[in-house]
Amino acid sequence: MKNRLKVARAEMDLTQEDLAKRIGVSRQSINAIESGRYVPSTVLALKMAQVFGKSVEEIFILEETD
Amino acid sequence: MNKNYLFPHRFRIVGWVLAIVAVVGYLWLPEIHFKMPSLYFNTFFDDENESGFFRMATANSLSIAMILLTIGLLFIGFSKEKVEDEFVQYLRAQSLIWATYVTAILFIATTLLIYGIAYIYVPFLVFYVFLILFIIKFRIELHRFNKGGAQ
Repeated sequence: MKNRLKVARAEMDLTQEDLAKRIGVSRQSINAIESGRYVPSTVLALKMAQVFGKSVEEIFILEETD
Repeated sequence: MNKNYLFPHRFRIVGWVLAIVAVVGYLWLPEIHFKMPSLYFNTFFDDENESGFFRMATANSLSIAMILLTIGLLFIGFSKEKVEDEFVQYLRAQSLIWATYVTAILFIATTLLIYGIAYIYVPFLVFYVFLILFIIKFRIELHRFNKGGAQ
């Protein structure tokens, strides 16, 4: 699964810390999700989408191998 | 859904205090003996007059230190992080699995390689080794994701 989290964050000028605080997770989580090392739960993905005002599919994209 | 078996965050500092008191206390006063009621007691030579269920036994400071160290390590390893989210719990679970495997390997290796009286120490230490490995692994994993990407 790919993600456009970093881009979405840059568009809104949010740091990892800012985003983490807004959705109530640790900064480590944002870092791990962005680097593709952790796949967030549906709840977390929906919360992120809400912050960016986008749909989940605009932020997280399935790959062939998934 | 949100059920977990963790202690509140502040228990971690309590855990450190207990663990340090256990280790320092034992090194400082290793030879304090006292009588304790026991569930089962047998003497070194298995003396029938003294061995058996519900006897008074002699305990020493090691018993107290072991209990304090066990509780201390549990508090250190199983207190919630400041932000205990799903990723932290994932790292916690991964670290537990890793620590279980490594402890098992160490247990098998020491069982194969250490014989005689020295082996007494192996089962005695295995639980502490497990908890300490878990704590170290978990902290390393958390630290690994704490770096980078802060822009």
